[in-house]
Amino acid sequence: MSDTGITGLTEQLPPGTEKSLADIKLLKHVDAAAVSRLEEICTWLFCAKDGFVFDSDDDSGDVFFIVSGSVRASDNVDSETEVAFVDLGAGDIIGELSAIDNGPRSATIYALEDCIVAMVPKDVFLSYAHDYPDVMVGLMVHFVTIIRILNTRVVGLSSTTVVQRVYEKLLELADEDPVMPKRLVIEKMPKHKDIAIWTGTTPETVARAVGRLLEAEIAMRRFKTLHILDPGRLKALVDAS
Amino acid sequence: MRVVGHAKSGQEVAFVDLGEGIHFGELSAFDNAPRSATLYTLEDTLLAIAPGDAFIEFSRKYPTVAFRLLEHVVGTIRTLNSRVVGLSNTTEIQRVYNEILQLAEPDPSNPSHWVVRHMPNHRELAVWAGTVPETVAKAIGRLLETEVAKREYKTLHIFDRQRLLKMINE
Repeated sequence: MSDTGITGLTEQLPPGTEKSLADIKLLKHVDAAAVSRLEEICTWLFCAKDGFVFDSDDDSGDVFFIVSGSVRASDNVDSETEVAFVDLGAGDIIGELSAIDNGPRSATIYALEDCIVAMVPKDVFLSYAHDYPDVMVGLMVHFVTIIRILNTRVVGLSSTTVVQRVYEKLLELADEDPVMPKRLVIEKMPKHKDIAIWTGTTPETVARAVGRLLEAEIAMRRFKTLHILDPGRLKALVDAS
Repeated sequence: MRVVGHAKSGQEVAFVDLGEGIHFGELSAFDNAPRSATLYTLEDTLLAIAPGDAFIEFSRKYPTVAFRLLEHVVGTIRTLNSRVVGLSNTTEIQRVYNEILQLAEPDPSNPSHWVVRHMPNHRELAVWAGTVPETVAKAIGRLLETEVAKREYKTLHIFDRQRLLKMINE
């Protein structure tokens, strides 16, 4: 690691931590002996909630497997606006982009909850992938998935307004209302700041967009719950062009 | 070849232009999912096709090929990441100005001016800036009105590049 001082990583593991890579998706088709070989090489680390696994200045190229917990990959476009790329959880891999192309970190990674991660230095990871074609193919499939998600976001961002993206996110978060069949409901409405991070805007814009829905009686707020009274009208707003 | 995606409204969004020596179609070969984009030729093109399975077998056999593929897709991811950040953080008009700036070069006959020699049409600029041709027309109109730029046939003269930069970063 370039500078352990600035990350939230520590080798002090909670008691009883299981040092296993059995659930890492990338290693799903790799035989057990090969997985245990990697387990022996890894350094096992703990990162508390809100701590950084690495930030965009890190130049180590180390690769991390998330054994438990979850993290967010995001980019600070400026001090006000954070743009989230993806949330990752147990079984996922991080840091693999820089390991492969030696480029700078494309994102800052911070813990959304307490995490256990297993770290391998770049060169070790690459020679491991070289030895096991299944790992290479697994990496390709993994990257392809990321590309598809990003493609969809580029198209979405290019063709919708900020307010439309907020409404689209609300529809994505909503479930069917168990009591009122034609309505949708978001039981625990996320903070405006969190919705802003996903839709590439500011919390104020989210507040305004939600406020308009309440005024137009498309939605109703009760404490932490947002009731979507008229999902059809909300969908029409998302699709308007 | 141009790689494009389509929004629900039918609006076309360009991902990338590809030229000689480049491969494509590898996404569906690896995850068996439908094509993620539409490709069309920008000029007459000669292609070599390999079935997906054969291609994967080939890359398993030659780790060097697999590694080049990985480098390639990582490059794609980095480009897309910057576009997501860029699109999240700018208005459509700012993106049009940014595209124009990318095309501009210093004017040899007048050192304080910049020039775009072959201005693409509005539709072309819209596809790259993630907007519609009408917005491109409006954005360019504003540059002419405020005398930041002047149009002469296919050429756009930029008188005040600093001001244009400021308009992008506002």
